[in-house]
Amino acid sequence: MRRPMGRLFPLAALLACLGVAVAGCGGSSGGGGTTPGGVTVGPTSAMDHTNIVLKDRFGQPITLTSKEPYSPNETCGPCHDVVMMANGYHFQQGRTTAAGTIQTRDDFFSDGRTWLKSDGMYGKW
Amino acid sequence: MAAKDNANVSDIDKTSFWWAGLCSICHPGGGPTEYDRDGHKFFDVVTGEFGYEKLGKTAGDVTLDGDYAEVNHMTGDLRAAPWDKTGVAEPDCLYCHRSDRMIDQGKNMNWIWRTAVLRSKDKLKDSQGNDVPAYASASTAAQGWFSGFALNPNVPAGKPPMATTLDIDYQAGVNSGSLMVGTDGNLYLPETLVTREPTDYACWGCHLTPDLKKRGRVWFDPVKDIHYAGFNNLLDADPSNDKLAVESKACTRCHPSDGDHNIAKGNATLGSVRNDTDYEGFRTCRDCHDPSSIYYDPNATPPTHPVHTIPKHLDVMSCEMCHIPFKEDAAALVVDNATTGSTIGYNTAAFLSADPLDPTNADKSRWYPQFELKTDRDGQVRLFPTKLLHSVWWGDWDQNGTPGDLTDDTIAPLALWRVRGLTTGAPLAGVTDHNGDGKPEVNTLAEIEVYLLALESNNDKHGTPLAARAVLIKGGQVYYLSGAGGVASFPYEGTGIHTESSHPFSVNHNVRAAGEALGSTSCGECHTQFNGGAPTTVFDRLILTDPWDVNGDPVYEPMRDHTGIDPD
Ligand code: HEC
Ligand code: HEC
Ligand code: HEC
Ligand code: HEC
Ligand code: HEC
Ligand code: HEC
Ligand code: HEC
Repeated sequence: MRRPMGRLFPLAALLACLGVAVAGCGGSSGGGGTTPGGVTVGPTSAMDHTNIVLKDRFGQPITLTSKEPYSPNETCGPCHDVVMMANGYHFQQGRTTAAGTIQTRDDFFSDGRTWLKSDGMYGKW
Repeated sequence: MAAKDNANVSDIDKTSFWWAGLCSICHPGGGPTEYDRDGHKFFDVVTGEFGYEKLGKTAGDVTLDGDYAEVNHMTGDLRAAPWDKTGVAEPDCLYCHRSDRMIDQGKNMNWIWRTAVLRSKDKLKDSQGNDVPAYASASTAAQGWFSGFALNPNVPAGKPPMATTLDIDYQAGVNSGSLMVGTDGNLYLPETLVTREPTDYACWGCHLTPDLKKRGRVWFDPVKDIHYAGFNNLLDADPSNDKLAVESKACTRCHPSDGDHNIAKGNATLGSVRNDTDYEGFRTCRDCHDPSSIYYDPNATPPTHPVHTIPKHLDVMSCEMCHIPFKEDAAALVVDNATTGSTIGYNTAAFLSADPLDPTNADKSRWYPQFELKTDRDGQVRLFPTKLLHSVWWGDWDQNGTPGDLTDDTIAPLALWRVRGLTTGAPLAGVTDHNGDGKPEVNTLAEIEVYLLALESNNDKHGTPLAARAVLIKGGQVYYLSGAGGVASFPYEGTGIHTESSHPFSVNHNVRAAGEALGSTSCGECHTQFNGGAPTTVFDRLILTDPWDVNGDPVYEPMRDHTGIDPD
């Protein structure tokens, strides 16, 4: 079941690269380091997912002594357009439109039901 | 939901902070758990500022702000939303994209940990008693990266869990193999931890409760769902290729997603979110089963049974209608928010039975969907299976200054925290249990009158009248105090008033084996002419329209009368 991403979806990889920030695709940053096994990990190819550094909300790499929660924005955001992804309807649940514009307002359906503020779970109640 | 700007505490129901603690357990983070309605982070941990401060406002300016206030739903008390203590919940990428899941005795632990932490709101501590930012820590908890975790033991059974203690500890991730320590001392995610398609368990954590409760839907059951079985190779003779439940990625076969992260969907009967994406990328029954479709799945048998060849059949009936012929798991059928101001629930077993023509039959092993007309992907209007949820609730009727004209009227639901201020969570004096099911219900005109009078003559704890013109919404009727004395009622349908006492939840999953489809035994399941003139199990099945009339008895109508589709 567990297969390396890149080999599974070469075309997706190419397309994703056009959409992701330079770091992941250009292989120019991302920290680098060595796994416990001694193998050097670093962004070696466009499909590389071996080098995801866990980071906290302040953008600091997390170490074993840290008690700070990890931050998905800081961890995945350097390579992926998290803001665009988080405009999907699962994340917004009625808060924004396809274009990412905030749409919550009183009487969303313009039929007098002032208490309905959106068309999704955040607001339509 | 609470407006952004409010003039009065009594206008505030569900605020963003409240939503983040209760509703967002079925939300993957980001959006409304991260940003306010002006687009600012509720609290920016890097600058130490609340979102409103970015607009030059002070705490005093936002005491009634739907993003920065919270009303306690038990007491009605108002407080400032402590986003600075909870932090915000960011988009939780790994929640869905983690390749393996922690399933403990059937329990979806990743969902439970995340849920429990979100629900603890500003009360989460570590074992030393230090505050832990619950909303910000939910995604860390979801990965199991902690050493100490304690649940509040006072949460009643059946309610989602609530954490009291969380000790974030990344050593737990290293121990379980979900984190690696680099030689620089930093922590890394192993490459295999991330999956492109989420597993079914990732989806099911959030979808289980609504699906089971509202639709009697189950998953991971090869008998009750032919596609779960088929997509995981459980139907062939070779046991060695079977996939385990934790490995199953069946949801995304029909609901794939693209880089936009809009998981493909259809046109759900009640859901209206992002309707502009309806059917985009979605795989319908025809997509996979029709050999002329570009998405035709060579493993999917094309329908050939004669029932499919009558053109009128496929014009009028959806595939789902015949292939999801019954349900075996009870679903919620009635929610009574009126009698006590807290929800009293009734499931399908209370009003339906395994005999579609006799709801009182003691055999409750099955129940049958009803059908609603809905526009299908090809633009054709067809019958789709649904399960109504009936709701009984108090509203405030505003005639908009034109008593003769109902079209511009509104009926606003009363927030339950305000109703409970009156009822204190118990039925008002005089309410009895007319149908003898052990649960009291407001149903006689005299009982309804007691409440309507009380709602019109009492204030909530902030001194605001509970309702100017109180009404009860139940069974398609609006009950109100008539000027002539006593209670009168009228059906709201066709008046132009946008109100509802029944909510059709679509029943789209759990396709059964072909041999169980409607019509597999006889054409007489639907056509009286092929049934010796007798009532048919499909079109004469009884569907509930009102859980209790003025005598306490349920009211039903035959399916035939419901949509106008009436095969001879
Ligand atoms: C160092 C850069 C980098 C970081 C950090 C990173 N990714 Fe990726 N990721 C990529 C690249 C490049 C691809 C495209 C190659 C591929 O599809 O295999 C990718 C692909 C993916 C895909 C498959 C997308 C598709 O359409 O095929 C998923 C899912 C994914 N990443 C999730 C994550 C998550 C979750 C995180 C944070 C925990 C993360 N990534 C962090 C570089 C990164
Ligand atoms: C974190 C919780 C969560 C997860 C995980 C999740 N969902 Fe959802 N999903 C929701 C909620 C809540 C809604 C309703 C959003 C709304 O209406 O605003 C929803 C809506 C949907 C809809 C659209 C319903 C409609 O109104 O038409 C589909 C389809 C769907 N989800 C499928 C999936 C699939 C498939 C997965 C797994 C890949 C998944 N979901 C994962 C919570 C979740
Ligand atoms: C065999 C195909 C198939 C599979 C597998 C499947 N679905 Fe669906 N799903 C559908 C269809 C068909 C609809 C209804 C589309 C429409 O509105 O016309 C639907 C609708 C939904 C909806 C909207 C609410 C509803 O029930 O109508 C949600 C949410 C959803 N699916 C979630 C899931 C999740 C979660 C899984 C996996 C546990 C899953 N689906 C697996 C076909 C499938
Ligand atoms: C256990 C998960 C879960 C929880 C908790 C939850 N919801 Fe939902 N909700 C869903 C799902 C899934 C849907 C999508 C439709 C469906 O499957 O019924 C949904 C749909 C909705 C919708 C309809 C949205 C639309 O597109 O039309 C509203 C409104 C809503 N929820 C409000 C709330 C509110 C308010 C809360 C908190 C008090 C809440 N929900 C808590 C899972 C949940
Ligand atoms: C993603 C493709 C896909 C979609 C969408 C899909 N099916 Fe299927 N279906 C299959 C496959 C593949 C099988 C065969 C499973 C097996 O036997 O391994 C199957 C099996 C079946 C069977 C059993 C057939 C038999 O020979 O016993 C029925 C009935 C069925 N599907 C009906 C439906 C209905 C109704 C829908 C829409 C709700 C639907 N399917 C949507 C792929 C699909
Ligand atoms: C009027 C009810 C009805 C409708 C509508 C209907 N089916 Fe069927 N379907 C049946 C019956 C009855 C059988 C045969 C059951 C048996 O084997 O006894 C069947 C069998 C099947 C089979 C197994 C192959 C076969 O023909 O025996 C598939 C696959 C199937 N249907 C898919 C679909 C799809 C896809 C749709 C929508 C385009 C659909 N059905 C619409 C009643 C229906
Ligand atoms: C699941 C229910 C169902 C089953 C089973 C069923 N039918 Fe039908 N049939 C219908 C419906 C609904 C219509 C459309 C009635 C209407 O539009 O008023 C219809 C229409 C027809 C029509 C067309 C009548 C017209 O006015 O055009 C014929 C002929 C027919 N059915 C024959 C059969 C035969 C023969 C069988 C058994 C092989 C059968 N039906 C099984 C529900 C069913």
